[in-house]
Amino acid sequence: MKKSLIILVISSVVALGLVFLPEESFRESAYQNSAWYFMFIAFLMLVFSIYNSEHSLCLVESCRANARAAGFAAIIVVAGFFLSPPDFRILADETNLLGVSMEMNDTTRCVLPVESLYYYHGMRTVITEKTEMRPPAYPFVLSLLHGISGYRPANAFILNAISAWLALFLLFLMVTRREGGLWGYVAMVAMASYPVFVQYFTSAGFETFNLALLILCFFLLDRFLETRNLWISVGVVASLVLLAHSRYESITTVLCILPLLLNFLPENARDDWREKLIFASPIFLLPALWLRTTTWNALRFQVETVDRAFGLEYLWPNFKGMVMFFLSGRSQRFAGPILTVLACVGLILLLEKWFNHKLVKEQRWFNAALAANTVFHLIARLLYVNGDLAQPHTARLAIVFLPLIAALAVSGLRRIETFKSPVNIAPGILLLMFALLISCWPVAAANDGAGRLLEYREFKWAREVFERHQVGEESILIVNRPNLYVPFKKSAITFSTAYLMQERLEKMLYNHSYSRLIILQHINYRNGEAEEDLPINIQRFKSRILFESQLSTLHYLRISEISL
Amino acid sequence: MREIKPRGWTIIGFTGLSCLAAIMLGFFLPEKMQMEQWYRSTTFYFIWFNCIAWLICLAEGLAENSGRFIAWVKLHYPALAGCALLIFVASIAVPGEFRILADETNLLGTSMSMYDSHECCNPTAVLNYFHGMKRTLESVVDMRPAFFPFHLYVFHSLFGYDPANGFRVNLLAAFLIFAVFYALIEPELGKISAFLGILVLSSFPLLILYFRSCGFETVNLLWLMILVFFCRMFLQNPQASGIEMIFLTLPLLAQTRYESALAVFCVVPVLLYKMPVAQYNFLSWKTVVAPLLFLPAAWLRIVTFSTQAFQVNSIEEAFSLNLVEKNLGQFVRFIFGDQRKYGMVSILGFLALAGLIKYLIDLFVNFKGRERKSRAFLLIVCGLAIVHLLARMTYFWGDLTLQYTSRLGLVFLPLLSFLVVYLLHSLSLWQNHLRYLWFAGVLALMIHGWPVAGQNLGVREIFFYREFRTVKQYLDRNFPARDEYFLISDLANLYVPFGFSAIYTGYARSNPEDIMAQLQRRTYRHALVIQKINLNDGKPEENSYLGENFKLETLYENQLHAGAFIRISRLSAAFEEK
Repeated sequence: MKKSLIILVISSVVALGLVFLPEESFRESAYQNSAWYFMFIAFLMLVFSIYNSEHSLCLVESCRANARAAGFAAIIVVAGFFLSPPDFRILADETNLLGVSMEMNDTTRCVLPVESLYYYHGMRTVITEKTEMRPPAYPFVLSLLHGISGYRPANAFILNAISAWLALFLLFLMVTRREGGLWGYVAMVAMASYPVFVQYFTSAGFETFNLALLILCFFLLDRFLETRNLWISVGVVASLVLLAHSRYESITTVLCILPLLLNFLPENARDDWREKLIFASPIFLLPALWLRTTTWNALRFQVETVDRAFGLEYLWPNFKGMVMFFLSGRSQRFAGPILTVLACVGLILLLEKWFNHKLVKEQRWFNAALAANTVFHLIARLLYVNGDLAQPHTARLAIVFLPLIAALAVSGLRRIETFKSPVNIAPGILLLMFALLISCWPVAAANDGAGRLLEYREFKWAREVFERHQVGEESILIVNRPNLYVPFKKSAITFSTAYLMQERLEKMLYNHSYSRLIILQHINYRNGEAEEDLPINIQRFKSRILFESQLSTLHYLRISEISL
Repeated sequence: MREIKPRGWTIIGFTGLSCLAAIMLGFFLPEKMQMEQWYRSTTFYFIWFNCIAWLICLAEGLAENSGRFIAWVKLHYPALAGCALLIFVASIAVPGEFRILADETNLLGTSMSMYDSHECCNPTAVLNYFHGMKRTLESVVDMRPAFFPFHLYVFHSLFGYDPANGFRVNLLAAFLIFAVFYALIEPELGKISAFLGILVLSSFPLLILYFRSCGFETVNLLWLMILVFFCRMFLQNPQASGIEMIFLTLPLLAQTRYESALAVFCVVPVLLYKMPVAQYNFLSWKTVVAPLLFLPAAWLRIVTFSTQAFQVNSIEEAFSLNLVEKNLGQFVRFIFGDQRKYGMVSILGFLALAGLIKYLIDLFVNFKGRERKSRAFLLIVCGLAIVHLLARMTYFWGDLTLQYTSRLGLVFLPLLSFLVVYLLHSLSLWQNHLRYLWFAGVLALMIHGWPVAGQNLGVREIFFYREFRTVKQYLDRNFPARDEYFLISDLANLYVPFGFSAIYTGYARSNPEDIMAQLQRRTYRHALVIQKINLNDGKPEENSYLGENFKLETLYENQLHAGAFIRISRLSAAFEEK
């Protein structure tokens, strides 16, 4: 233990030293060039720990033993994709993640290509790139999918479908272990009945992936506390590392789980290399720390000063938003109030168990870790400038609470059975949950939340127009946000770059390097003028308007073409 | 010698005579024109007969060893399923494309001619009309051997003519390469290491890239590995039937890629020496006909031995010992994956080197202890490797770091993979749990490397590839009805195998009346002219110059490289009348 503690101290000191001592340029460069490899090592550790943890302990065995539930989860996911067709909804988050995965696929570097020019069937010149503030685990796993199946933007939906399936199935396993019978199915349906869950597993964001990893961490922790198997503890650490790099605030889960894990390591683990690996785990958090320290600025948080990103002044409005989301029924229909009330009942009963010492030591610690994790996530949302769950683009931040609500609701319902009923009420409850799901899912189909976002509207129109006019490698897009289009293999630059490249752009048109420029402008209704000036002397070229459509009450979108 | 009976002597005598006949007919007696004519009209039947004889031989062998074969498949089906899964995933990761041009389209053209008329030539300028009728204006004997087009022909016959059959053939060949490679190394290294070997082999992006192209390299590698496999089978059990299988494999291999004919010199002497004398009595008619089956390969070499075919100024330039130094230097850079775009994996290069050293140490420590058959096998493999290496190192285009020629490195990959796995296997024997690390590492290399193939990094600098892709993409989008127009291009042969009517710019320049007559008779609605325009003066390059007789309407222009762009224009009767 002594040796291990020394390893823990050294690895923590080295990690902190590498974060705070070097200059920002070093940290940024180290992050860009090494994040992929850090993620890859963690991923391999996770795969091998699951592979090596013997028979019934491992996920593969659980899958085999519960094939029906695995199939049921798959049906829910497939049905979700029918209900809510896959789409890029939260922009530029989702396209930025895709862009990073593209760069990882091409060069294994963890950067976002912002402006790029494609030519000669796949060659690409990056004009500007930046370190993306979103953590690298999701783009990394996406890049693995690209690696074995070729680069395709749609791989993001495949990854989210797998994540949703995993989240549902793991929830099933955890609930079934505690409540037995059909209650695991009830929990799956309860979680799936939230429209926000469906809407975001059919999007290309990292929330569902983050959720699946979070549940995986607690699932493996649960198994570890039961078996004290060292391979599982390696799995917990590996999944924690990936989780810490999957969403900004997820690193807090490390604080909730790692101390518990170190405390419960078995006596016979001494001098085992896996124990040393676990104690050395702080070193694996380097990319997350490098990323936070390099992107901690006002611009990235979209606030005036970085101090305004978090504050107590947001607590009340965000709390109101949270109540609105979970209790009003306006956002998530009946799933919101019904499941929240049931979860409160479950929570009270759990607390009663806790205070009456009905839980064994391991369960108490497990629940404490879960509670601490929930509190950290709650605080992160309540104090954040964009933490209002009632807003369409931030509703996805609630996803992380859904499995806990579903599990607590099931625990509350289960108590009714043990209290009173002489018969098994689970089948009836399952049917009622289905009714709840059917009544709530149309919200996801309506795509209401995303439809209110201007970027989503513009992006959707633009892609439709590009398809109609066969905009391919022979065109350059001049747009406000080229990072939306570059991952779709479109050459795209900003207006400011276009001004700087004016002569070069004209020459490229004359040389037939490109046949046309496609320009996306926002036209103000009041004065009929474009918010962005044309970056090229239009007199010398042919120009025509390809498409116009209203974006908001203030302005409309104009897509025009300039060619020789 | 006394063991050989009169029947055996008769076969040996007739085989000697057929060898003599093959040499005389192949190289000396007929005129070049005569050879070309014979090549065009008989090659298909030579290969057809060779394949039938080979299949009979194979069926006889399988019938004799059916129990062993079935037991082997039962024992190793997980590995075979793994190979199939790898190929399936690779086929998704890397889209099938025509990359090395005009090689791949010429091979496809030859298969089209086989399909249309059983003739072995490449139709380079063709006009299609009346829903399937065809007027071939020009066809040439392609310098590339005919066995790969014959594979395509078989697929065309079974599933209908389709350019994509090339990809299907190569995918099937890729699966068989993995399976044969597994079968070759499994007895030496065991199941797990043999499967690791497949993963190592598949982690070379170069291999995956050419599995998904339409060239003959993959099929050539397959037949080379089949030959090596048969050699090992024969050395384990040296019987006349085994050597005849090899005799029938050699002409097929000789007609797959140019230098593969040299395998005869590495394999035949060793095998004849190792065959027990008594077995000569069991040789059959297959041995007698085998030398004659090389005739098309000999004719093709004579007919196409020209500066134009080798793309050199003088024929002496094509092969020279002076090139060895330069090519060898580049070969080292290639093997050690100096640049990502070579499609090689640096770390595997170094591991293969370490594996070679380890193998040589083991070999010399235990040379006398090794069985004789094992030494003979080693001799064959080394002979093949050296011959292939020499063929590349002395060749004008033998610099494997060039995008056009990196595919010539494909034949060395199984050998490199074996050396890597040999090293890893030895280390696993020392520390068993390292095996997990090897699998993880190789998977990591695969995921790290495959995007090189997926992005076409290895071929993107090739101008023909760019031109073909740009033009075909444009035509598919804007002129999907291919029977309504014909193309005029200096690279007409690229388009003919895809069902386009296409003629050379030179023909159109010299026969403007014929061109306009086609349009005025409304055989076609218009002609599309593909030209390369010089960026400096805005004029067509020499090969693209159509003359002053035509008025063209520009439809599309796109840059090809720093000095030129492609222009697609329309020439129609209606336009002319205006």
